[in-house]
Amino acid sequence: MYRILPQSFFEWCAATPIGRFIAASVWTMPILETFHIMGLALLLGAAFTLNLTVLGVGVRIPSERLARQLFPWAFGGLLIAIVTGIPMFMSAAPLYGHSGPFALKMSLLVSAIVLQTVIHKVPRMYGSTGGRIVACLTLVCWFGIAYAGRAIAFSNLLGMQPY
Amino acid sequence: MSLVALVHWINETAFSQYLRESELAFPLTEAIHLIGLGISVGTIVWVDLRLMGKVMRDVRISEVVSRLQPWAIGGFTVMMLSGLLLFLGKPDNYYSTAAFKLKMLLLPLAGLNVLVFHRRVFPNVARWDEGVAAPWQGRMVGAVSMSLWIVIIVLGRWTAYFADPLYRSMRLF
Repeated sequence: MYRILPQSFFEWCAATPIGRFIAASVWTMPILETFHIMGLALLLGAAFTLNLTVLGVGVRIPSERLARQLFPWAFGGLLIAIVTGIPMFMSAAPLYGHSGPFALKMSLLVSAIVLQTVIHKVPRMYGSTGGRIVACLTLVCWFGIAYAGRAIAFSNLLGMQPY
Repeated sequence: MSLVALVHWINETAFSQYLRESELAFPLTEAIHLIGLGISVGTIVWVDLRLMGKVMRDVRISEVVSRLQPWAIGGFTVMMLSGLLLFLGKPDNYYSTAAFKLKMLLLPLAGLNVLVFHRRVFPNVARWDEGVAAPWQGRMVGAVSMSLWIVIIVLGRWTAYFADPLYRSMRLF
Protein backbone atom coordinates (compact mmCIF):
# COMPACT_ATOMS: atom_id res chain seq x y z
CA MET A 1 0.00 0.00 0.00
CA TYR A 2 3.01 2.26 0.32
CA ARG A 3 2.89 2.56 -3.48
CA ILE A 4 -0.61 4.02 -3.38
CA LEU A 5 -0.37 6.20 -0.28
CA PRO A 6 2.59 8.41 0.59
CA GLN A 7 4.97 7.23 3.29
CA SER A 8 4.21 10.44 5.21
CA PHE A 9 0.60 9.25 5.69
CA PHE A 10 1.72 6.08 7.47
CA GLU A 11 4.20 8.02 9.56
CA TRP A 12 1.52 10.56 10.48
CA CYS A 13 -0.81 7.73 11.60
CA ALA A 14 1.83 6.26 13.88
CA ALA A 15 2.69 9.69 15.28
CA THR A 16 -0.89 10.54 16.32
CA PRO A 17 -1.60 10.34 20.07
CA ILE A 18 -3.73 7.19 19.50
CA GLY A 19 -0.99 5.49 17.50
CA ARG A 20 1.69 6.31 20.05
CA PHE A 21 -0.50 5.34 22.98
CA ILE A 22 -1.24 1.87 21.58
CA ALA A 23 2.34 1.26 20.52
CA ALA A 24 3.52 2.01 24.06
CA SER A 25 0.73 0.13 25.84
CA VAL A 26 0.93 -3.56 26.69
CA TRP A 27 -2.79 -4.18 27.13
CA THR A 28 -4.52 -2.08 24.48
CA MET A 29 -3.53 -4.23 21.51
CA PRO A 30 -4.73 -7.55 23.03
CA ILE A 31 -8.02 -5.92 24.06
CA LEU A 32 -8.57 -4.43 20.60
CA GLU A 33 -7.72 -7.74 18.94
CA THR A 34 -10.14 -9.58 21.20
CA PHE A 35 -13.02 -7.35 20.08
CA HIS A 36 -11.75 -7.44 16.49
CA ILE A 37 -12.02 -11.23 16.43
CA MET A 38 -15.51 -11.17 17.99
CA GLY A 39 -16.64 -8.72 15.33
CA LEU A 40 -15.15 -11.12 12.80
CA ALA A 41 -17.07 -14.12 14.18
CA LEU A 42 -20.33 -12.16 14.00
CA LEU A 43 -19.63 -10.86 10.50
CA LEU A 44 -18.30 -14.11 9.03
CA GLY A 45 -21.19 -16.06 10.52
CA ALA A 46 -23.78 -13.69 9.08
CA ALA A 47 -22.08 -13.53 5.68
CA PHE A 48 -21.71 -17.31 5.67
CA THR A 49 -25.32 -18.03 6.62
CA LEU A 50 -26.61 -15.50 4.12
CA ASN A 51 -24.50 -16.59 1.17
CA LEU A 52 -25.27 -20.25 1.85
CA THR A 53 -28.93 -19.36 1.49
CA VAL A 54 -28.23 -17.59 -1.79
CA LEU A 55 -26.41 -20.78 -2.87
CA GLY A 56 -29.51 -22.76 -1.91
CA VAL A 57 -27.96 -24.82 0.89
CA GLY A 58 -28.73 -22.60 3.88
CA VAL A 59 -31.93 -21.86 5.75
CA ARG A 60 -34.95 -22.31 3.45
CA ILE A 61 -36.32 -18.81 3.65
CA PRO A 62 -36.43 -16.24 0.86
CA SER A 63 -32.92 -14.84 1.10
CA GLU A 64 -34.12 -11.27 0.66
CA ARG A 65 -36.06 -11.59 3.89
CA LEU A 66 -33.14 -13.36 5.61
CA ALA A 67 -30.77 -10.67 4.39
CA ARG A 68 -32.91 -7.97 5.99
CA GLN A 69 -32.81 -9.83 9.31
CA LEU A 70 -29.09 -10.64 9.28
CA PHE A 71 -27.94 -7.29 7.94
CA PRO A 72 -27.96 -5.39 11.27
CA TRP A 73 -25.84 -8.14 12.89
CA ALA A 74 -23.41 -8.41 9.99
CA PHE A 75 -23.13 -4.63 9.87
CA GLY A 76 -22.60 -4.51 13.63
CA GLY A 77 -19.82 -7.11 13.35
CA LEU A 78 -18.19 -5.20 10.50
CA LEU A 79 -18.45 -1.97 12.47
CA ILE A 80 -16.78 -3.56 15.53
CA ALA A 81 -14.01 -4.95 13.32
CA ILE A 82 -13.42 -1.58 11.61
CA VAL A 83 -13.60 0.48 14.80
CA THR A 84 -11.05 -1.79 16.50
CA GLY A 85 -9.03 -2.30 13.31
CA ILE A 86 -8.28 1.37 12.61
CA PRO A 87 -6.46 2.05 15.92
CA MET A 88 -4.55 -1.22 15.54
CA PHE A 89 -3.44 -0.08 12.09
CA MET A 90 -2.45 3.35 13.41
CA SER A 91 -0.20 1.89 16.10
CA ALA A 92 2.15 0.42 13.51
CA ALA A 93 1.03 2.06 10.27
CA PRO A 94 4.41 2.07 8.45
CA LEU A 95 4.73 -1.66 9.14
CA TYR A 96 1.24 -2.45 7.82
CA GLY A 97 1.81 -0.15 4.86
CA HIS A 98 4.66 -2.42 3.77
CA SER A 99 2.83 -5.66 4.49
CA GLY A 100 1.69 -7.71 1.48
CA PRO A 101 -1.06 -9.56 3.36
CA PHE A 102 -2.41 -6.26 4.71
CA ALA A 103 -2.77 -4.88 1.18
CA LEU A 104 -4.47 -8.14 0.19
CA LYS A 105 -6.80 -7.91 3.17
CA MET A 106 -7.86 -4.36 2.30
CA SER A 107 -8.43 -5.30 -1.35
CA LEU A 108 -10.50 -8.32 -0.33
CA LEU A 109 -12.48 -6.19 2.14
CA VAL A 110 -13.44 -3.72 -0.58
CA SER A 111 -14.27 -6.59 -2.98
CA ALA A 112 -16.37 -8.41 -0.38
CA ILE A 113 -18.40 -5.29 0.45
CA VAL A 114 -18.94 -4.51 -3.25
CA LEU A 115 -19.93 -8.11 -4.09
CA GLN A 116 -22.26 -8.39 -1.11
CA THR A 117 -23.90 -5.13 -2.15
CA VAL A 118 -24.27 -6.47 -5.71
CA ILE A 119 -26.09 -9.52 -4.34
CA HIS A 120 -28.50 -7.31 -2.45
CA LYS A 121 -29.10 -4.55 -4.96
CA VAL A 122 -29.14 -6.37 -8.30
CA PRO A 123 -32.52 -8.01 -8.93
CA ARG A 124 -32.83 -11.77 -9.51
CA MET A 125 -29.50 -12.58 -7.82
CA TYR A 126 -31.25 -15.02 -5.52
CA GLY A 127 -31.62 -18.51 -6.95
CA SER A 128 -29.90 -17.79 -10.27
CA THR A 129 -26.64 -19.25 -11.52
CA GLY A 130 -25.11 -15.79 -11.68
CA GLY A 131 -26.13 -15.18 -8.08
CA ARG A 132 -24.56 -18.45 -7.00
CA ILE A 133 -21.26 -17.57 -8.65
CA VAL A 134 -21.22 -14.13 -7.02
CA ALA A 135 -22.13 -15.69 -3.64
CA CYS A 136 -19.20 -18.14 -3.97
CA LEU A 137 -16.83 -15.31 -4.81
CA THR A 138 -18.15 -13.25 -1.91
CA LEU A 139 -17.56 -16.13 0.51
CA VAL A 140 -14.01 -16.58 -0.77
CA CYS A 141 -13.43 -12.86 -0.18
CA TRP A 142 -14.87 -12.86 3.37
CA PHE A 143 -12.85 -15.87 4.45
CA GLY A 144 -9.80 -14.63 2.54
CA ILE A 145 -9.97 -11.54 4.78
CA ALA A 146 -9.66 -13.72 7.88
CA TYR A 147 -6.78 -15.63 6.29
CA ALA A 148 -4.93 -12.53 5.13
CA GLY A 149 -5.55 -10.93 8.52
CA ARG A 150 -3.83 -13.79 10.28
CA ALA A 151 -1.09 -13.67 7.65
CA ILE A 152 -0.26 -10.05 8.56
CA ALA A 153 1.26 -11.32 11.79
CA PHE A 154 3.40 -13.75 9.78
CA SER A 155 4.03 -11.78 6.63
CA ASN A 156 5.76 -14.73 5.02
CA LEU A 157 2.61 -16.85 5.26
CA LEU A 158 1.57 -16.29 1.68
CA GLY A 159 5.12 -15.90 0.47
CA MET A 160 4.11 -12.36 -0.45
CA GLN A 161 6.33 -9.44 -1.25
CA PRO A 162 5.46 -6.01 0.14
CA TYR A 163 3.08 -4.13 -2.06
CA MET B 1 3.95 -40.37 33.77
CA SER B 2 2.50 -37.15 35.12
CA LEU B 3 0.57 -34.79 32.87
CA VAL B 4 3.36 -32.22 32.94
CA ALA B 5 5.88 -34.87 31.94
CA LEU B 6 3.62 -36.07 29.14
CA VAL B 7 3.16 -32.52 27.84
CA HIS B 8 6.90 -31.97 27.98
CA TRP B 9 7.51 -35.25 26.19
CA ILE B 10 5.17 -34.15 23.38
CA ASN B 11 7.00 -30.82 23.29
CA GLU B 12 10.29 -32.58 22.54
CA THR B 13 9.01 -34.84 19.75
CA ALA B 14 10.25 -34.17 16.24
CA PHE B 15 6.68 -33.49 15.06
CA SER B 16 6.13 -30.81 17.68
CA GLN B 17 9.45 -29.18 16.82
CA TYR B 18 8.57 -29.24 13.14
CA LEU B 19 5.20 -27.57 13.82
CA ARG B 20 6.63 -24.65 15.78
CA GLU B 21 9.78 -24.15 13.75
CA SER B 22 8.32 -24.44 10.27
CA GLU B 23 7.71 -21.08 8.62
CA LEU B 24 4.39 -22.21 7.23
CA ALA B 25 2.89 -24.93 9.45
CA PHE B 26 1.99 -22.94 12.55
CA PRO B 27 0.67 -19.76 10.90
CA LEU B 28 -1.30 -21.82 8.39
CA THR B 29 -2.85 -23.90 11.16
CA GLU B 30 -3.75 -20.72 13.04
CA ALA B 31 -5.45 -19.31 9.95
CA ILE B 32 -7.43 -22.55 9.48
CA HIS B 33 -8.38 -22.48 13.17
CA LEU B 34 -9.72 -18.94 12.72
CA ILE B 35 -11.72 -19.83 9.60
CA GLY B 36 -13.20 -22.85 11.41
CA LEU B 37 -14.20 -20.43 14.16
CA GLY B 38 -15.96 -18.18 11.67
CA ILE B 39 -17.95 -21.10 10.27
CA SER B 40 -18.87 -22.86 13.51
CA VAL B 41 -19.37 -20.04 16.01
CA GLY B 42 -20.74 -17.93 13.18
CA THR B 43 -23.56 -20.42 12.60
CA ILE B 44 -24.01 -21.41 16.27
CA VAL B 45 -24.71 -17.76 17.06
CA TRP B 46 -27.72 -17.75 14.68
CA VAL B 47 -29.16 -20.87 16.24
CA ASP B 48 -28.71 -19.29 19.70
CA LEU B 49 -30.27 -16.02 18.60
CA ARG B 50 -33.18 -17.87 16.98
CA LEU B 51 -33.82 -19.79 20.22
CA MET B 52 -33.82 -16.47 22.06
CA GLY B 53 -36.25 -15.04 19.52
CA LYS B 54 -33.92 -12.31 18.26
CA VAL B 55 -33.62 -13.22 14.56
CA MET B 56 -35.49 -15.16 11.83
CA ARG B 57 -38.64 -15.30 13.93
CA ASP B 58 -40.67 -16.32 10.89
CA VAL B 59 -38.55 -19.43 10.31
CA ARG B 60 -39.36 -22.61 12.21
CA ILE B 61 -36.82 -23.26 14.97
CA SER B 62 -36.34 -26.87 13.85
CA GLU B 63 -35.44 -25.64 10.39
CA VAL B 64 -32.82 -23.18 11.60
CA VAL B 65 -31.30 -25.95 13.74
CA SER B 66 -31.32 -28.63 11.03
CA ARG B 67 -30.03 -26.38 8.23
CA LEU B 68 -27.24 -24.71 10.19
CA GLN B 69 -26.17 -27.59 12.42
CA PRO B 70 -24.11 -29.46 9.77
CA TRP B 71 -22.02 -26.32 9.20
CA ALA B 72 -21.57 -25.76 12.91
CA ILE B 73 -20.39 -29.37 13.31
CA GLY B 74 -18.14 -29.18 10.25
CA GLY B 75 -16.58 -25.90 11.38
CA PHE B 76 -16.17 -27.26 14.88
CA THR B 77 -14.35 -30.33 13.56
CA VAL B 78 -11.97 -28.11 11.59
CA MET B 79 -11.44 -26.02 14.70
CA MET B 80 -10.82 -29.02 16.93
CA LEU B 81 -8.34 -30.69 14.58
CA SER B 82 -6.43 -27.48 13.87
CA GLY B 83 -6.56 -26.62 17.58
CA LEU B 84 -5.05 -29.99 18.41
CA LEU B 85 -2.22 -29.31 15.96
CA LEU B 86 -1.66 -25.87 17.52
CA PHE B 87 -1.42 -27.50 20.93
CA LEU B 88 0.96 -30.19 19.65
CA GLY B 89 3.17 -27.43 18.27
CA LYS B 90 3.70 -25.60 21.57
CA PRO B 91 2.43 -27.86 24.37
CA ASP B 92 4.84 -26.58 27.02
CA ASN B 93 3.87 -22.96 26.40
CA TYR B 94 0.13 -23.63 26.37
CA TYR B 95 0.13 -25.94 29.33
CA SER B 96 1.53 -23.21 31.52
CA THR B 97 -0.89 -20.53 30.26
CA ALA B 98 -3.86 -19.79 32.52
CA ALA B 99 -6.09 -18.60 29.66
CA PHE B 100 -5.55 -21.91 27.87
CA LYS B 101 -6.42 -24.00 30.93
CA LEU B 102 -9.61 -22.02 31.47
CA LYS B 103 -10.50 -22.43 27.80
CA MET B 104 -10.07 -26.20 28.08
CA LEU B 105 -12.41 -26.18 31.10
CA LEU B 106 -15.09 -24.17 29.29
CA LEU B 107 -15.08 -26.18 26.05
CA PRO B 108 -16.61 -29.30 27.68
CA LEU B 109 -19.26 -27.02 29.23
CA ALA B 110 -20.19 -25.79 25.76
CA GLY B 111 -20.44 -29.44 24.70
CA LEU B 112 -22.59 -30.25 27.71
CA ASN B 113 -24.87 -27.36 26.81
CA VAL B 114 -25.40 -28.82 23.31
CA LEU B 115 -26.06 -32.22 24.88
CA VAL B 116 -28.67 -30.76 27.25
CA PHE B 117 -30.29 -29.05 24.27
CA HIS B 118 -30.57 -32.23 22.22
CA ARG B 119 -31.60 -34.50 25.10
CA ARG B 120 -33.94 -32.27 27.10
CA VAL B 121 -35.08 -29.33 25.00
CA PHE B 122 -35.11 -30.14 21.29
CA PRO B 123 -37.24 -33.35 21.51
CA ASN B 124 -40.27 -31.15 22.38
CA VAL B 125 -39.63 -28.76 19.51
CA ALA B 126 -42.98 -29.53 17.82
CA ARG B 127 -44.79 -27.64 20.60
CA TRP B 128 -42.98 -24.35 20.08
CA ASP B 129 -41.50 -24.74 16.61
CA GLU B 130 -43.32 -21.77 15.12
CA GLY B 131 -43.16 -19.59 18.22
CA VAL B 132 -41.33 -16.30 18.42
CA ALA B 133 -38.80 -17.84 20.82
CA ALA B 134 -38.16 -21.19 22.51
CA PRO B 135 -39.46 -21.77 26.08
CA TRP B 136 -37.16 -20.65 28.88
CA GLN B 137 -35.04 -23.83 28.75
CA GLY B 138 -34.27 -23.20 25.08
CA ARG B 139 -33.66 -19.50 25.60
CA MET B 140 -31.32 -20.43 28.44
CA VAL B 141 -29.39 -22.87 26.21
CA GLY B 142 -29.01 -20.09 23.63
CA ALA B 143 -27.82 -17.53 26.17
CA VAL B 144 -25.39 -19.98 27.83
CA SER B 145 -23.99 -21.02 24.45
CA MET B 146 -23.41 -17.42 23.33
CA SER B 147 -21.82 -16.42 26.62
CA LEU B 148 -19.55 -19.46 26.67
CA TRP B 149 -18.40 -18.88 23.10
CA ILE B 150 -17.66 -15.21 23.71
CA VAL B 151 -15.50 -16.14 26.71
CA ILE B 152 -13.85 -19.01 24.82
CA ILE B 153 -12.95 -16.68 21.92
CA VAL B 154 -11.49 -14.13 24.33
CA LEU B 155 -9.48 -16.83 26.13
CA GLY B 156 -8.30 -18.24 22.79
CA ARG B 157 -6.97 -14.87 21.69
CA TRP B 158 -5.34 -14.39 25.09
CA THR B 159 -3.76 -17.84 24.92
CA ALA B 160 -1.90 -16.78 21.79
CA TYR B 161 -0.66 -13.68 23.61
CA PHE B 162 0.23 -15.10 26.96
CA ALA B 163 1.83 -18.27 25.64
CA ASP B 164 4.22 -15.97 23.80
CA PRO B 165 7.62 -15.79 25.55
CA LEU B 166 7.79 -12.05 24.82
CA TYR B 167 4.59 -11.33 26.78
CA ARG B 168 5.62 -13.76 29.49
CA SER B 169 8.85 -11.94 30.09
CA MET B 170 6.81 -8.83 30.94
CA ARG B 171 5.38 -10.56 34.02
CA LEU B 172 1.93 -9.06 33.68
CA PHE B 173 0.41 -11.01 36.51
